[in-house]
Amino acid sequence: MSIELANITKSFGQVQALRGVSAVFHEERIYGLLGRNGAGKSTLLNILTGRIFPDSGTVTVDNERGTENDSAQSKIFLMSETTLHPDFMRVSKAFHWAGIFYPGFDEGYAKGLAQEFGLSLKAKISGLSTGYRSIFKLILALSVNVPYVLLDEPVLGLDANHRELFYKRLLEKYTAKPFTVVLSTHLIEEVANLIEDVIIIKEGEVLRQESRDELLSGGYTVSGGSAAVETYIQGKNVLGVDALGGLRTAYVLGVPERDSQSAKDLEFGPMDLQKLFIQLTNS
Amino acid sequence: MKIYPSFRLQLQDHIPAVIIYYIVLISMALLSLALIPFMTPNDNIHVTTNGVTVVTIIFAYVCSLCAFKDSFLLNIQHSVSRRTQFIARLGTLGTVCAVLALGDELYTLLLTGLGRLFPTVFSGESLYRMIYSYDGMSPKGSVFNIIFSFFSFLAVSSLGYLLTVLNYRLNKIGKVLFWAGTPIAVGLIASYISAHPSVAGIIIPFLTGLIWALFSSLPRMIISCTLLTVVFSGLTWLLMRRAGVK
Repeated sequence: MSIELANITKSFGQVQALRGVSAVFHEERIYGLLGRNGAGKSTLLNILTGRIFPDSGTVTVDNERGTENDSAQSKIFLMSETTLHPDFMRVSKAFHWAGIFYPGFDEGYAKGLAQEFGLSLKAKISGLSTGYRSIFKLILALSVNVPYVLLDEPVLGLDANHRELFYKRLLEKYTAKPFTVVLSTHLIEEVANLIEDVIIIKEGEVLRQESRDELLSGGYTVSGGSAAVETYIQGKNVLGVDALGGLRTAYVLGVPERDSQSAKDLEFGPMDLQKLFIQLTNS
Repeated sequence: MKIYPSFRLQLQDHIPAVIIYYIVLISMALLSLALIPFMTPNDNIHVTTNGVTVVTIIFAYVCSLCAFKDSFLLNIQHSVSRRTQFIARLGTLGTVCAVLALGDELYTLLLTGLGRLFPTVFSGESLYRMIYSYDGMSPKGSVFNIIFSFFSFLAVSSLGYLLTVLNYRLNKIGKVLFWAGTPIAVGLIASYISAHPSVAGIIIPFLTGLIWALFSSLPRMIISCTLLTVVFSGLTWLLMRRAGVK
């Protein structure tokens, strides 16, 4: 059971947003969909949920055609940056309609979450701040109980307290009944420990798709004095180097050579997802 | 398939507008009724609702112009395919037109009834009776009134919906060209026709004949309106099937 994207391409005028993207979202996994601004993350999620059409390529949901197929699409819920609910609609009414369209929607749970986040059920969607709009959509996403939940910039405008509460509730929900979560976010440090798999998109192409552990185990950081680090990284596959005064940190692919002569006085550490992402997508 | 939820959603969009519309119509009649004790024979006040269907046709058209964007986006948010939305829309169209046709007939009957009680103040005739000179007060006449109104609303609402979907699909330049260009083109053509009697001599009789052929009797009107509805709805589907979220 999975969502499969095969050779998806999409252009907007002269801009090619996606170039032959193929990716798989397996069931009951938490994915981080990472990419810089304009990389094509939102376009990919919009195509996956039939909000826009690809120029070519196919979307398959649990071995069914994904595009324009109610049965396949009803297994997916996308919380997007754009709010598609009418501005005049009240939160309670939006919950009511979610219950009609998604038989698994847990209205009691949604109302409970609304209370926890301090979201008024009587509030009009047009009157909500950016943060509360995000909260409103997050509550829907956590309450629909579908196998695939896609979250595009889920914590946009949320304060630290609300972000923490959201991650907590998401994990609780996932632990109680696992489902597939795709988190598309720029706050990589915040989700680094949450995600199990990573898909990195760069300029409309999938750069990496692997598990977080695999991705991070493929490299390491080495820190120390400039000269020592420079000597050590000679001939190695270096993703990039950060410099701070006389100190340097290099991001290196491969296995650390701690016993080598050049490794003296150097510190080795695990690869950091955000750093790795920056180094991979910087050029 | 999510046809029924989508149907409910799209119908819900129309219900408040329809209720308000008839509240306004009935309030006007009641207000007139309440003013009767204060009227003197010299006031010469007469309340007529002849052909209320014309007003309802405009109302149905405006309603359908407002029916697409919000419900389309909300349906998409709830993972409803365009095909399902379109089928549900056809159901909504039929239901709303039936309710309006029935509402119009009841309103016309109400006013006609009041006209019998207060003949100097109230009068009401259906549009169908005015056009086809049929006795609208007979039960058979009522059925014909309803049928006439229903098919009128159907064609007009389909046109309104087609235009709003077209408007959604067009980009900015397309919108300007269409919404400004169409009236200008019509104005220019009308001016050209009026300035050239020889052309007018061909066009005007053709249009008169066409209208006669399409609407000169109730069965012709039903067939014509059904065909128009099919054409408008078919074009709507062509536009809707590839509509994306903007």
